Amino acid sequence: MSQPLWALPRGQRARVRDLSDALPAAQAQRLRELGFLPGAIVECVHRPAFGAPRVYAVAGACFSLEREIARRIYTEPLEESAHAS
Amino acid sequence: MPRETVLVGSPNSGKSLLFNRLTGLSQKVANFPGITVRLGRGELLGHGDEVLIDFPGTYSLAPISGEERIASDGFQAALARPELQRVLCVVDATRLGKSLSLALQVLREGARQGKDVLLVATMTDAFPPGGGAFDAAGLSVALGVPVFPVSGKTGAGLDTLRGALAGAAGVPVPPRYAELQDEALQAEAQDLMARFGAPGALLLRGQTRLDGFFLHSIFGGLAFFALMAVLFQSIFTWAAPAMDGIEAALAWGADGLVPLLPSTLLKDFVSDALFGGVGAFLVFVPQIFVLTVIVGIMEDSGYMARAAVICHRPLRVFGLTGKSFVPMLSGVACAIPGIYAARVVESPRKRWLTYLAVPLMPCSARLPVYTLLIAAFIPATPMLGGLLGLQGLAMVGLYLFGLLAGLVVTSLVSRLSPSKDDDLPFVLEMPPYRVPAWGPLLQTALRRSKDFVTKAGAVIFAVTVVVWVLGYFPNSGEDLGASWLGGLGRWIEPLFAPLGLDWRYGVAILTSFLAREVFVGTLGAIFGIEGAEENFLPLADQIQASGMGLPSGLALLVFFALALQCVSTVAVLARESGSWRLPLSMVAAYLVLAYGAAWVAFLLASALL
Repeated sequence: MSQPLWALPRGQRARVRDLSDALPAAQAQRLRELGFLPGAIVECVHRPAFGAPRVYAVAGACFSLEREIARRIYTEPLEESAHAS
Repeated sequence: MPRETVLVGSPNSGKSLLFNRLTGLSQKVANFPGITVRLGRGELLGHGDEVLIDFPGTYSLAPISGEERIASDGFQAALARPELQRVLCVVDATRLGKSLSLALQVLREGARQGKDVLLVATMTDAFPPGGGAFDAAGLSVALGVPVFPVSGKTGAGLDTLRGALAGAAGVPVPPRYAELQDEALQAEAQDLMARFGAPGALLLRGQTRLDGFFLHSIFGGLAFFALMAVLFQSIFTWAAPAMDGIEAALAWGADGLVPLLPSTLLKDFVSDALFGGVGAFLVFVPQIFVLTVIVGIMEDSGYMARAAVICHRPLRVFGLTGKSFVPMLSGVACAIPGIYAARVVESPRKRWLTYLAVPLMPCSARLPVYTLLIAAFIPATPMLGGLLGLQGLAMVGLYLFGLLAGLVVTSLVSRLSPSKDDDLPFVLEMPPYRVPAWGPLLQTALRRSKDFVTKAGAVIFAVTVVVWVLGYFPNSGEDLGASWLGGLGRWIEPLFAPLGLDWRYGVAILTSFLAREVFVGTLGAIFGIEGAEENFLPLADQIQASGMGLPSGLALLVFFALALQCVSTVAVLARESGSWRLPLSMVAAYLVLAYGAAWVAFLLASALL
């Protein structure tokens, strides 16, 4: 079961599964370099109202992503036992 | 020949602060041979034969925009230079995750080109007490190159780094990096992150709490408007005493100097062209300084990234980005600091669109023109039970008209020329909140003010002299109407006739391309009134008596709201955009737009009133 990162509720964490093929190659590579690569744990830190870009923590840094990006990053829910990683 | 060291690092990694610390704020902005990216260049403090070159911050050597490609090509070109011995790669010790990919890419290039690479881990002061220290020695062993832990803020570790830079060449990069493939590189970055990265949650906690306020749906919006009000106000209030001071000093200088000059011609030139023309633009320097400091505080503290998030959605509708907000707001005071402020917009296309919007913002130079024309044409009828006069309402309307015009132009242009591949999507790092480093901040503001005076000043001086000569000869400034400028005015009169304007307004509009407020002074000179800038009413009465009607007045107002009549803005735009093409096409396009809209306003008003 996978869901887009954009759907992740505030304060919840998920594991990145895949980046959509719809993302241009250069942009996908940049996202991976920033830490959004398969296996990484992402937390939704803030969800400002009115569709503003949302803030995600990954690899110890925070990035705000707009909808067009965040809905193309697929995540899978995190099992409680995986929290330690 | 001095040895060169290049500094690279990701944005918000503290690279610029480190550069300023290492060079003792001696940064000179210089263009690197062959590329168009502005690079900082400075000598290592106490070691004049060691030159440091500061590259723009980048997350990766694999570019995703045209601008990044220029920077990355420039980096490759720099590596090929024999003078270049070393690369100093700056990583943020608190957030290794975003820095390590770049560091490994730099090591790969270093290994391929045979250059030494040093790593500098910054922000070591940010580790919370009891949160565990940064393991620089361990990282150094794992990478096979020296790693220097420093704090740009407290200065810890800087002496060791400076000593190492001044000493002999370092250890060569292990050759295994030359063959590293992208996927292996990312896996290695992940592995290093897991072993040496800071406990992320610990560092992020304080940031998350502040973001909870500044990105809050209600409080965040209120805080945003409050801060913007302070910014806008400061440009007027805090800069005003300094602006008055400059004006007074110029007047005092002119009064003292002019009588000492030997000939009338020289006297007129010095008082009109030098003090009147060039002096008029020096008045903008305090505004630029104050705005640079305030925008710098917003950037350094980390708030700018939050403001960009808040206004991203609304501005996107008009083809802009959240980061376009500050330049546009600054433009309401003066387009020049607004153009400078557009540097925060990384996407070249969005920055270009921001450049289009800024000169349409109702800047303070339009204020004298609006005041004069409103006094001349709009009756002082009280409205809303005396709360607001019709004249005040007209002023508010003109401000809204300018704002709206800017947004309409950007949304039209962005829709007519669809987005290209190099348009960066909105991925914005939320840097930690920090107390700004005041020294470098004031240094930057001073440098930018100096930059404005020397670079834009040269152009302004040249144009001022030309206009002065045209207005002064052949009759020694006795009668502007009989001067070459007056002749030119009569020659272009047919152009302004459709708007119901005669040659006098034509000349005033011509000179107002120098700076809009010159319009008032020129009309004053033409109508033979001394000191028209100080007291608007007699001139307004003259204009009324000259038989010009309300439709022409409205046409003039519309024209001034839209036309790009400001030599300083054009010069700064050319400097910031790197060519004259953009500012000159903007002057032409906005002239056509302004003339067309003014003509429509004239026709409509003539038909309806």
